[in-house]
Amino acid sequence: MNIEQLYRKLIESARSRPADDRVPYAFEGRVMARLKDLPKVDLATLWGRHLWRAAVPFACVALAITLWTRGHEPAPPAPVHAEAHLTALDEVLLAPIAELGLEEATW
Amino acid sequence: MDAPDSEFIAQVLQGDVSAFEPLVQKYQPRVFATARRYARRESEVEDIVQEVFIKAFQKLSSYRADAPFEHWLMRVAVRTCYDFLRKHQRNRESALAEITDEEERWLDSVASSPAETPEDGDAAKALVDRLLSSLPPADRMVITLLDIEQKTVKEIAKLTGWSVSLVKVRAFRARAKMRKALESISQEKYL
Repeated sequence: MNIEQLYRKLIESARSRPADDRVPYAFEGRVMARLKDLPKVDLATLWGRHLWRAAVPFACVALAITLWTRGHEPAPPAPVHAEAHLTALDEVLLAPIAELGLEEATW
Repeated sequence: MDAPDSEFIAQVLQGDVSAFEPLVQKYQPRVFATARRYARRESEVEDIVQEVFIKAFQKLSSYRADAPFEHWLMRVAVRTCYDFLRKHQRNRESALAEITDEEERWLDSVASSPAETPEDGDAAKALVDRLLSSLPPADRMVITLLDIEQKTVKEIAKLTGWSVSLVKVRAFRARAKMRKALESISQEKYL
């Protein structure tokens, strides 16, 4: 006999046994007692439901804020002249030397 | 759907917890039969069944009346049994250790009279349980539903939430593992 035949016979025999559907005495009473002890409100489900419900209004608020900020963009800053900045930077860096009167000094 | 089931369900959803009791009484034998395929200890079986009904009660609002309540409940039962198998994975290798005398006698009688099926269904069931215990939870579930309970692949897919192709792949692999486990038990003597 090969393994396949053995396997099939085994499964056929196991199948011939009826399912054991015995129920312990008053089991439904135990289940009902547990159900009555459950918290009335399932916090996790409630939280999840409210999160979903809040998603749409939050999306609308986000969209409204985006549109509002686009419509009220501040005026762009005045164009910056790079040379003026560099000159100002030179003056700030060399100010201590200028105070000492060393601008014309050579090293 | 049976009128009484829909009435009880409507009452439960309106807040009458006690209306769930007739549903428990009606379906608990079927749920017990299912749970006993996956757990050996009676305490574990009772825990599973209790868990099934608590989940069914908590999720009752998600039940759509497009199929009988029993089908929906069995889906909850099968998934609860699967969760149990995953949580209680024991040392699978030890399941194939020493077979009992009855199991050995069953194998002996099959070897001596291959054309007949021995009458001792208890020993065969014990052997099948032993082989199933050596499988991972998903494989065990598929073999139990497909080969023992003779459900179709489509029914198994609905019960477990797996795709049809996944059920087929699992069934193929699970049967190969079962045969290999059976071979390891019976190789020295009978094959």
